[in-house]
Amino acid sequence: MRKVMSLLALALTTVTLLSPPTRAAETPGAPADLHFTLKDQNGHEVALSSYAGQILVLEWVNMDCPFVQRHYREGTMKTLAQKYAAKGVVWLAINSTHYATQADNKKWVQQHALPYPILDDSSGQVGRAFDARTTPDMFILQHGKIVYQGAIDNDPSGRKGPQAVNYVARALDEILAGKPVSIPKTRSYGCSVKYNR
Amino acid sequence: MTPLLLILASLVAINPVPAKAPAPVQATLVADRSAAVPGQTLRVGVRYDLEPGWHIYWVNPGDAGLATRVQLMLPQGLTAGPLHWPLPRQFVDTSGDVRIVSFGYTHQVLLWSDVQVPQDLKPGAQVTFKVHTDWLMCKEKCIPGQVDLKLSLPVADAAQSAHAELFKTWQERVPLDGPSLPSQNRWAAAVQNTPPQRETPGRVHAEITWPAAGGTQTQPRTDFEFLPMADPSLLLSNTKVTPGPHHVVIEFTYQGVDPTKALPASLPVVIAYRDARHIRHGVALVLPLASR
Repeated sequence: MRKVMSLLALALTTVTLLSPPTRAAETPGAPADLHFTLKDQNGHEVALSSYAGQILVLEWVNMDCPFVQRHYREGTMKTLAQKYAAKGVVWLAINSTHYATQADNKKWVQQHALPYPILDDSSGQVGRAFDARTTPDMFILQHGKIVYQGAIDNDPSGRKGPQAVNYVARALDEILAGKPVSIPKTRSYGCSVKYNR
Repeated sequence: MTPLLLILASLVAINPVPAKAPAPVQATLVADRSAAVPGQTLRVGVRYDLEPGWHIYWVNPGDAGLATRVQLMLPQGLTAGPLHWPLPRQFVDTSGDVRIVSFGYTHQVLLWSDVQVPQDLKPGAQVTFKVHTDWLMCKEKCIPGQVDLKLSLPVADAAQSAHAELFKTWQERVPLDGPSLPSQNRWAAAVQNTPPQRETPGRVHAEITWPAAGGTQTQPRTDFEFLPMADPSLLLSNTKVTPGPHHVVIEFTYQGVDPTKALPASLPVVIAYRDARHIRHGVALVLPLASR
């Protein structure tokens, strides 16, 4: 059975490669590819598919990126992750920076006392599958489908202060209230993801 | 090399200046006149000099990055026009199917405004221009930069030109306004617009034409690029650029970020191309979006 599954997966992969470059990430509502397993900062394997039944937030991260550094100084991600963890939302950070190591991720988790793991995707395979382009780039998944993709908020330069609208918080509030996400896609901003080539 | 230079060179090698890495981007405030002349216009801007490999960003940074910002604080009575943005180059990062396109400048760029000096300014006085500028500079990694700059000029009945080459070079690289070009070279866009409906994004098909210069064969234009201006309320996708012999077709789909808000009525864009001598030019156009 497993053999059949992997053959099927291979066949699907081939089809994906041949089809025109319209990716799941471009179409909120499309099912996300969750068949990836990544290692967290302690070397433990995390299968994305194990969260398919939950509300899952994926955050693309790069500690060398000033946009990410600002949000971590301000505690944007940590505050949201803590607030929504209480409501059953799972938060995972993914680092697709080609030169970032598990040790770098561990240091960052410890330094900021993060309540969520940072997953090592230095090969870039998950980032590419989701078409993550910037750090940060935010995805919210519900029932394995992408219901939000884009910016963390509407404040790229960080000058709006309390006037900024946090798109992720807004979408999570709507999801938890059983409503459709009113703004399912925005322009993410940040540094380009430093993929390997 | 002369012996003296050799000695100097070896001194430098033995006794290097304490190493403080120079910032990858240096910003300098410049004016194109030696003085502010009452009733005349002068150009005031920031020249950015970049170390090799680094870049800063255009008014629309693209998929990543941050627009360079220039805040000009003028002496009382002086007024400034909008910032002039020379044609940027495109940076494309690809990894597998992922394509990250951003727009910006390498090596050097000048961003400036035209400043109107009022009639009633008294010769002999002095005017001081202050600028705050900030930017994101990227090589493999990105670093934010900012600086406050000051420039004082005397007020005088006459002025000499200054930094003439610099201003000329960058003025020539500002995209021309397509519809207001002389008729023998006027650019026009015939736009078919299908507005978005519920889940379906809107679609623009713009055929952009220019007349044959002087009735002769149109000069070949190649390497077309589509550079939309920034509009955070708008999502563009499926961009396609199809060059023809006497026109170029630009296609894209679009939708508003917030479905409860009205779409912008139009989208300013820049079309870049290379002429027969392989020199890159930009032409600015405004494409209508919302149905009327």
